[in-house]
This record gives sequence, structure tokens and C-alpha cells, in this order.
Amino acid sequence: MMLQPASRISRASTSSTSSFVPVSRQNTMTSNDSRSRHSKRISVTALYLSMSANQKDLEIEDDLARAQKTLRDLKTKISSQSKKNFVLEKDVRYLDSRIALLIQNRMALEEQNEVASHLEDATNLQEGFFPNDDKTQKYGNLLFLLQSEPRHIAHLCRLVTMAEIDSLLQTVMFTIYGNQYENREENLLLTMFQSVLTYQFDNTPEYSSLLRANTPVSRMMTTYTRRGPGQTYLKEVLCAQINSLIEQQDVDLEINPLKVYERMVAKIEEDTGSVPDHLPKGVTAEEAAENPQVQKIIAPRLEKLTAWAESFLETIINGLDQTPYGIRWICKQIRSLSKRKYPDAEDQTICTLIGGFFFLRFINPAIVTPRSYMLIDEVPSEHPRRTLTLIAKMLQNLANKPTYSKEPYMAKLQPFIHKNKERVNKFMLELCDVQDFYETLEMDNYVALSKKDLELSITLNEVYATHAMLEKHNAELAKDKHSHLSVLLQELGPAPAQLPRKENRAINLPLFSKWETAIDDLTAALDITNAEVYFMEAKSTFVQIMRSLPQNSAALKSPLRLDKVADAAATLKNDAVMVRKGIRSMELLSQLQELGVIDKSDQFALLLDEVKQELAHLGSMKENVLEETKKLEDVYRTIRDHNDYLVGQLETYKSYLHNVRSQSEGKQRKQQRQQALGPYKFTHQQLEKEGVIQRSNVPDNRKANIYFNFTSPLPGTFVISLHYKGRHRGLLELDLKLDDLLEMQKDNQDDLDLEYVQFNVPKVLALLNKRFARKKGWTGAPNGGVEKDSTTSPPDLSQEKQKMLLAADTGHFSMIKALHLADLITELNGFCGFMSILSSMRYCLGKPDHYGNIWTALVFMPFGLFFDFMDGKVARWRHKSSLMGQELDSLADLISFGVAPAVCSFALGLRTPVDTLLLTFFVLCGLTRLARFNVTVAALPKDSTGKSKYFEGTPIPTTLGIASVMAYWVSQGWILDDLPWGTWGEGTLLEVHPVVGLFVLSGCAMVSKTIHIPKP
Amino acid sequence: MSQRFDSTASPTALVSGLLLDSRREYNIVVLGAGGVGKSCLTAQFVQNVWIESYDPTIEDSYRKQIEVDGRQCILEILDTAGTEQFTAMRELYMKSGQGFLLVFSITSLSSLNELYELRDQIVRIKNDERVPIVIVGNKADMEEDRAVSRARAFAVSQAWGNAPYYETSARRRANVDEVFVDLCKQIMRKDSATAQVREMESGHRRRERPNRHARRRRQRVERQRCTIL
Ligand SMILES: Nc1nc2c(ncn2[C@@H]2O[C@H](COP(=O)(O)OP(=O)(O)OP(=O)(O)O)[C@@H](O)[C@H]2O)c(=O)[nH]1
Ligand SMILES: [Mg+2]
Repeated sequence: MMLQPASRISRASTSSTSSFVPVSRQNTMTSNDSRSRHSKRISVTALYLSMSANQKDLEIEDDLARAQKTLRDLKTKISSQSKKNFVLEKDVRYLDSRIALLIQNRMALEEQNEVASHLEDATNLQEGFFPNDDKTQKYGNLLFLLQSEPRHIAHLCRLVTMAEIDSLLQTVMFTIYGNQYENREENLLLTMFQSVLTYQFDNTPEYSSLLRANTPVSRMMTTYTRRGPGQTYLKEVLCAQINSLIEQQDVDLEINPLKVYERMVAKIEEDTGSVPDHLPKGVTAEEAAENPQVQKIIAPRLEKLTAWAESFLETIINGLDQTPYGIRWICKQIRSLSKRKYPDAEDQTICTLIGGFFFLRFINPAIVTPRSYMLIDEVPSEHPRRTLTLIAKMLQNLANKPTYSKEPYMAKLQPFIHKNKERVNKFMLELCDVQDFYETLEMDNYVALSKKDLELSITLNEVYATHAMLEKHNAELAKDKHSHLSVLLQELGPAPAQLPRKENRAINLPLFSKWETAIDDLTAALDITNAEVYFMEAKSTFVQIMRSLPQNSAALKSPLRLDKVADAAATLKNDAVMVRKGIRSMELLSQLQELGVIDKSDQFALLLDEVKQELAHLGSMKENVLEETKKLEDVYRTIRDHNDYLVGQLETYKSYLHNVRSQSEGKQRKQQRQQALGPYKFTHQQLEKEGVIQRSNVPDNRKANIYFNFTSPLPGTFVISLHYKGRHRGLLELDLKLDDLLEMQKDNQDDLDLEYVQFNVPKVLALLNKRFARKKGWTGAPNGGVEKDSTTSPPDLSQEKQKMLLAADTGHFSMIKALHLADLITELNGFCGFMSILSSMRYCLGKPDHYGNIWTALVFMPFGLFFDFMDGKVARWRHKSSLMGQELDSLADLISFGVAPAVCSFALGLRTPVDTLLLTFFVLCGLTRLARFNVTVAALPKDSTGKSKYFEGTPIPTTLGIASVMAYWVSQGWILDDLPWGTWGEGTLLEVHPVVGLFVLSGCAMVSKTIHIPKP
Repeated sequence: MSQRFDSTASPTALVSGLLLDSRREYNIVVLGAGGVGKSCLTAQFVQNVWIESYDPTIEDSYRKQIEVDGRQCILEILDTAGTEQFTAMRELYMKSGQGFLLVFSITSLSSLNELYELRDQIVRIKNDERVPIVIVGNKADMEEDRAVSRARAFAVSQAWGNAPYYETSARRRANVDEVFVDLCKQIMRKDSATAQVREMESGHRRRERPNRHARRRRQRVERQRCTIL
């Protein structure tokens, strides 16, 4: 299409939608010249052009057209992206509040499921359709009605509860009126605002409580400011100021004497170690304010604060022209509504109300919490945060009559108020100085009707939710059974239930009215004369021709003559479209002349002037378009960055939640093997540049030699190690769990201490996200395996075991650490066991009366026990029981307390076939016992240090009892043929030594399920 | 915050309320929807003045010393913004607060409904169902415009573990001191209770609730050094 209705930005300054109709047109009017007629004409031009835009061959390919197209695309992208962000933000907010519960282990399983469903496909919706055409048509009718008659939604906004309003507003602001840069939708939305505002004014008894409570209107304002134009404005006006302020992290501008006093005393105490008597603690505000030292600290701060506040004020006032039309228009409504309600109201009173919207609900929230308005990336540190709050308070005081009886110290800022009060009031009244849009809106609606392809991109759930709300409040909304709304609702029947998030679809719903048909006959519909239509067509055709003609064409040389232009076009070679246009323009010229509108004798001066003006206007329009494009590109980038941030945040939560859930559901899940991820290597410089390292004690000349490795041995678990080039081993190692990091982030705890460097928690999270989340594995199966496990025990068992161990609160797990002190000690246990076995064997080889070897075998066993105890102690003392440790422990125990005693007894004489069978039974019992221990240990109650409270079945080291019995036998010489209780069935195949019963009993006790032995 | 009372929690210190450092400081946060009269209530309590004018709050803080049960207490009172656009600031207040005045206006049902979310958030952040809370129905002088019945307010109070409910009027200065004193008493009671529990715990090593890993977890993010090089 060749001419856009004026863009939103230029809106406030241009007088109408149709930007190319000059104000001096009255003299061309054929009939009456009244204002209403005039405005109608103006809009008709827009309508005309909009209709002709359907004709493809009229499209122009010049710089302006291209620039306009870029701008249009950009606006569409911003509209849809800001909607996405709005939805994402809601999800993140919801999860923010839930994640704390999850971290504290206080969330029931159902709720976990609910949270999880919130996360499913939160980001990518699929395209879809309505189940059938009939539905498509009916919902198309309904939404057309809702869009073009905002009063229904306005009414609905008053009826719904505060709990329902958020989702309604989301649909309204980002979907039904989602084209945030389209005049018609914007204006309809504002009409809705007006309706709700009017209601509010009519129903608030006292002016003092007007617009103060949180109502549908205030919620609408919040949502409205989140749309593209509001965000652009805040960013343009506030961003630079806020950023330069928060850079000064350590500048304390506190002026509350109490706080100043306290900090002063604390500082003195810190410096000198004691507090002088004349500075008692717990003074009153007055005492603090009178303290001369405090006064001395505060005085310069007042000046600095005032300077800051003034510079903020300055940019806000200078930004008058950038203020979004909609925001200004709302201010205007507030003014006119209060004038209507309180005819005697002074300007001051009205300004108070305007300030209650503009400053209180739009500017100041962004100043106080800039991060939630995408103005900065991180929460500012304490001092700048306080400074920002003070500035916001000062600005708010300007807008209202300040009551210094509240905080007395604020009175010190009175000079600022006095100096700027007038200025601010003037500014706020100027804010209200914008055009209304009703006339153009009426026309825009015609334009919409004339467009045959009006569409709405909406999700099925939005449609259903809106339907459900309408249905719920049907009695109020559609009292008249014959109203259009009522008829449509009856046709639609009951509202369908909400679909699960997974099944929700985005659809393109064609909108049209059931009652009005598209306008075909313009002249009839709009009550204008043929002459007017011809004139407009002539003008637009000439403009098109002149934009399309080659720049060096003779016809474009001044003095410009329309007949020459038409001629040039009609005779252009190889361009049928232009030729057609040329011929048409000739026809129009002669028709207009016949009708007496223009005159050949003055070179069609009337038309020529308008064409020239239009071209001039288009020239400057291009500049504007380019400038606006540049600004919006900036906005789009911010919005996209913010989107990345939100998606990242969701991703983190998702993986965390996934861990928690897969642990608690462990049993039912199918497992997949998964490798540890990483290590990823980062240099010191790299991390410093990205802000991950926020402070570093590493001397500059060493930095080049320092690097970090990031590993994720298990999903949700990370090991960061600090390395020095050339050295094999890391200098430091830090174990991190995702939930710890999240908790730190929640607590606004930014520092992660790694001795030599301090990491920034949010940045670390972002980095981990980027590195590990993209790999399918992190969000995939939770089973992080360590290769060793699977080779030593049957795969099923090992996996189950791992799951259970993960489910239990086993603390840190890291492969490198697994081989630290505790595990080394366990290895020693195994060493003793095997040495004992070797000694027994050596005894068998030697002479039966050489007891040395058998003694050695027996002595190794208690040593094994000693190491067994030690490793547990060390592990608990160091607060980590590792997966490796568990495995090692069991395996070593089997050798030392299972195999070794059995082998020893074999050496001592239990050598008959039945003996050996029973000994084997004993060893197998031990084996089973250990395996079961590992599997069930997680399920047993534990005390606060992570130790199980009791053993199920006797623990395997009890076999040392048998070993000591055997030692006694050896000391008495009761071995081989002299074993106590002799031999049964001697000489037969079933020959057996009854003492082997000891082993059988011990074996049974070990595998018993009912014996509970309390742990020491 | 509460740790600082450990030293004074011994019975002797409790008896000798005259000791200088037994003056306690309590952080009180006043929360509630916009325009319900939080600031008026606070100003009446702290400064004995009535404010008629329109002056929405962003964040104000006050200090007042009062005597409760014969003991001197210093109350640090934070008057917050009821305007919904400032919700992002809430979390910080809640972390620092020990007791909360949840204010609504008896002339607006939706102002009572807004308290639910606030209370939820407090409980969540404090991780404690029994945080000291007082529910305040303000503007009691506007009986003719009443939109919230007493019964309804009591029902809310019951649902929230019998948090005391007061009806106040900042304009007439009715029940103003009472709400602050009640809250202060609750905090003090809680304070000495936790001190006792702590003493008991140190004897029995009994855990408060089996499922709370939160505290332990926090300590887990700590430096782990590689000892074997
Ligand atoms: N009749 C009556 N009016 C009151 C009472 N308390 C406050 N008001 C009026 O209610 C209005 C709002 O009071 P504020 O104290 O400023 O309200 P707030 O809760 O601090 O509001 P925000 O700071 O915006 O959150 C003022 O105009 C007061 O005059 C009361 O007890 N009775
Ligand atoms: Mg207030």
C-alpha cells in the first residue's frame, strides 16, 4: 500500500490520520464547508487509499515504500514479541514463587506436576485450526464484535474478579488489540480505557480516593504500559540516567538521619573498636537529626540528590513529545473527567490526579524497580537502589501536595519542590494536550470493514477463556436478548473447557461482522460526491506516477505540469502499469475539469498544489520513517534480549524441577545412560569480561595462567575447578548444586566465593545454562552414570541403586573427590582383606604347625575393620558421602569380612565338600547383604548428618566375631582335626564339621529383614 | 535478626528489663492495598497527626519507642506502597520484617482480597506459618459504607491461624496503638519461644521438622578444597 496512515509517533503533531491532506483544503470543497464534513473528507482519503491498496498493480517500489515496509514488519514483530514476553514473564513470576517451595522440599507431588505442566511447551505454540468451519465463523463474528465495540470488554472488565482480570487483559491488550502500532486497534483500546475510567469516576465518592485503589483500571494501566510504545518511551527517557546512577555502586546518598547515624556509629566502632559515650545506640529520630556530625554528612547528600532528581525531571519534561500518544490521551481523560465531576477543581488538584497516573503508575515504578522494566540487566546494589527510591519519592512529592508530617527529614528537600512545582504542573497539563481520535476512529472502522482480510492471531485457549468469561457474566453483559452479543453467545452455546497446554494452538481467525457487509460502493456508504472521489483519485494517481517515474525524467523538471506528467507516464515504454495510470490520470483531469473543480487555464493549480505538498510531505516522511525504524529496532533488541533472559530463566527452572521430579519418581522411569558433561574450559580473562568474575585477587601478571574448568557430572550438579597452567591438578574445586545457586539468587546473594575470585551468581547461572542446557542431556534423563559402577554390579541393580542414592539426600557427588581421603582408606580395607586371604593360602601351602601365616591372616581382618570405620568417619566429617564411597565400601567389606574369614576357616580345617558348600552359602549371604544395603540405604531413616539410623540385618563386619573365635581356636591349637565338636559323618560323603554352623547362622542373620541393629 | 537476642534471652536479662541493651528493636512492615489508610494509621501512631491529603507512598520508614509489658521496645516501622505497580519491591520488605500489619479498608472488599496474596507471600518468604501478623480493618468510622462484614473478617482471621483482627479508624485514632502493641507482643512472644526452643534443642538435639533441609542446604554451598595435590 502506498500511504500509511500516519504513524503513532507523528500522531500527536499531525492533525489527522490521512497525513497528506493539507489543512488548506477547504476551498476545494464543492458543497458545504463545515468542520465535520472536512474531517470526513480527510478520512475518506484514507479509506480510499486503503481500498486501492488491494490492487496489487498500484504498489510502488521506491525507497519510501521499502522503508515503510521495513517499519511495518518491525512493528508486527515487536507486537508479537512483547506478547510473548508478557506471557513468559507471567510464567517466570509464577515459577519464582513456586521454586522457593520446591527448594525447601515443601511441595506436594501434585503441585510439582502442576508446575511442570506450566513449563511444558511454554515457549513454542503450534499452529492449528478450529475443529470445524462453523466454529471458525462464529468465533470470527464474536471477536469482530468484541474488537469493534470495546464497550463489551470494558463492561466485562468491571465484572470480573481481580483474579480473572489478568488473563482477560492479556487477551485484550496483546491479542484483540494486539497490533500495538495500528491506529484502529490502539484507538479502540483507548476507547475501552475511557469507558472503564468514566465508570471509575462516576463510582468513586471522594476525589481523594480516586485512582488510588488497585482496580481493573490500575491493572489495565500496568498492562498497557507493558506494550511496545510504553516500553520504548521508558527506555529512551530513563535508561541512560538510571545506568549512570547505578554505576556509582558505593555512593551512599541516604538522608534519613536515623540510618545515617547508625551507619556512622557502626563505622566508628569498626575503625576504633569502641563507641564513644556521646553516641548512644537506639536514639530517636530527632536526636539523630540534631547530631552535628550527622548533619554534616547529610548536607552534601541533599545537594547531590537534588541534582540527580533534577536531571531525571529534565529528561522527563524534555521527553514530552516522545511520550506515547495513548499515555497522554489517558492523562487527558483524567483531566476532563475530573473537570466534569468537580467543576471547581483547581489545576493543582487535577495535576495531583494526573501525577497519580503518570508518575505513580508509569514513571516511578520503572525508576524504583528498573530491572522489571527491562531498563537494566541486574538488580542494582543497595546504595543506588536507595537513591533511586529517594528520587522517585521526590518526583512523587512534586506531583502531590507533600505532607512533611510523615517523614520529617524529607522536608529538607523542600527547595527542590518549590523550584520545580510550577514546571511539573505545566508539564502535566501539556501532557493532556493531544488530539482526540473519535472521528478518525469512525473512519478507521470503515476502513476495517472495507478490508476483506481482517484476521486475528489468537490461541484456542484465549478464545475459550474469553468465551467462558462472557458466558459467566452473560446475565449482566447481554441483558437485551436481541443484542448482537447475546445472539452470538446463544449461537455459540456453552464455552469449551480450557485445553491442556500441550494441546493449545495458535490460530489465525478471520474476523467479520455477521450484520454488516463489506463496503463496495464507497460513494453511497460515505455520502460524498463523485467530484471528491475523482479529486482524490487524481491526486493519488499523480503522486504514484511521480514516485515511479525515473528521477531524470523531463516531466519532473520544474515548472511542474500535470498534463506533461500524465503524458510522460502514458508514453512510457515497457511499462503497461504506468501507461494505464497515465491514461487514467488524463481521463481524471478532463473529468474534473468538466465538473468545474479544476481549471486547465491555471495549470490545474488546485490539484498541482496538493500534489506538490504531498510529495514534500512524503520526502520528510521518509526521514521520519527511517528515524522511527531506528528507534524501534532498539526496542526490538531489548525486548528480544529480555526474551532470552526469560527463556533462560525458565530453562533453569525446568531443569531443576526435572531433577527433583525424576528423583522422586525414580522407580517408574526408564533409564538411559548418560555421560558427565564437560569439562568446558574458560580463561580468567574470558570470565572477567563476561562479568562472571566480579572481583579477583589474582595479580594481573598471573591472570593469563589461570583457567577454569566447568563440569557437570550429573544433571543439576556442577564442579568448577580453578587451574594454574602447567599444573596437572586443580588448585581449588567448588561443588555446586543448581538448587543452591537458585536459592542464592532468590536471596539476592550475588557472591560466590572461590577464594581467589568472586563469581557473580546470576552470571554463573546464565553461563551454566548456556553451556549445559543446550545439550539434550541436561534436561533429559536424570541418570548420570559413572562408568565404574556398571562394571562391578549388574546393570539393573546399579541403576536402581544410583537412583535411590540420588533420591536420598546424599550431598555432593563428584568423581574427582570420590577418590579423596575417605575412599583411599576404603581401599586399604580391601587391601587388608586380600592380604588376609593370601596369608591363609600361604598357611595351607606350608606346614600345618606353622601358625605364623594363619595369625597374619587373622590380624589383617581387624585392621580391615579399623579402616572401614575410619572411612565412614572421614566421609561424614568432611560432609560428603560419595556414590563411589558407597560402592567401594561394600566391595571391600565383601573381601575383608566375607571372603577372608571363610578362606581362613577353610585353612583351619573346614575343608569337606559340605563345609565348603556351607561356607559358600555364608559368602553369598554376605554378598546379598551388601547389595541390599546399598539399595535400601536411601530408604532408611537418617539422622541429621546423613547417617542411617540402623542396620537392617546384622552388618557384615560382625563376622569378625567368628574370626576372633577362630583366633581363640588357633591359640588353643584346636584346628584341623582338633576342631571343637569334632566331625560328623566322618568318612562319608556328607562329612561335616558342626562348627561351620557358626558361619551358617551368621549368614542367615546378615540377610534377615527383621533384625534391626541400631547404629553406634 | 533474631540471633541478636540470644545473649539477652537468659532469664535474668528478661527480668531486669531496665538494662540498656535489653531494649529491643523490632521491624514491623505495614502492607495492604492502595489507599486503605496505611500511611494515615502509621502517622497517627508515630506522630499523632491526621493526614487528610492525597499522598501515595512509595516507601517510608519510621522509628518509635514504646513500652510493652514494662519493657522498652523500639519499633522500626516500614510503610509500604499499596500501588500494585510497586509489587517488585515487596520481597525485600518481607525478608527484613519480623511482624506484619495487613491493612484493608472495611469499605472495600477487594482490598481484603488483596491481603491473601500478601499473606501467602509472607509465609513463603519467612517459611513459617506462624509469623506475627495483625489484620487491620481500617476506616471503621465509615460504618455506613461498610463493604466487609465483621464475620467475614473473622473468618479470614481464623483461616490464618487466628491472627488477631482489629477494626481501626485512623481518622478518629481508634484502636491505633492497640494494633501495634499487639503485633509487638506477638513478636516478643515468638522471640522468647524460639529462644526456649533453641535451649531445648541444644539439650536434646531434636529437630524441629523432619523435612526441612533448607537450613542445612544453605551451608552446603561452601568452599571445598582439594586436599590431595
Ligand atoms: N474516613 C477515613 N478515611 C481514612 C482513614 N484512613 C485513611 N483515610 C483516607 O484514605 C486516604 C488514603 O490514605 P493513605 O493512608 O494515604 O492510604 P495508603 O494505604 O497509605 O495508600 P498508599 O500509600 O497509596 O498505599 C486518605 O485520603 C485518608 O484521608 C480512616 O480511618 N477513616
Ligand atoms: Mg501510604
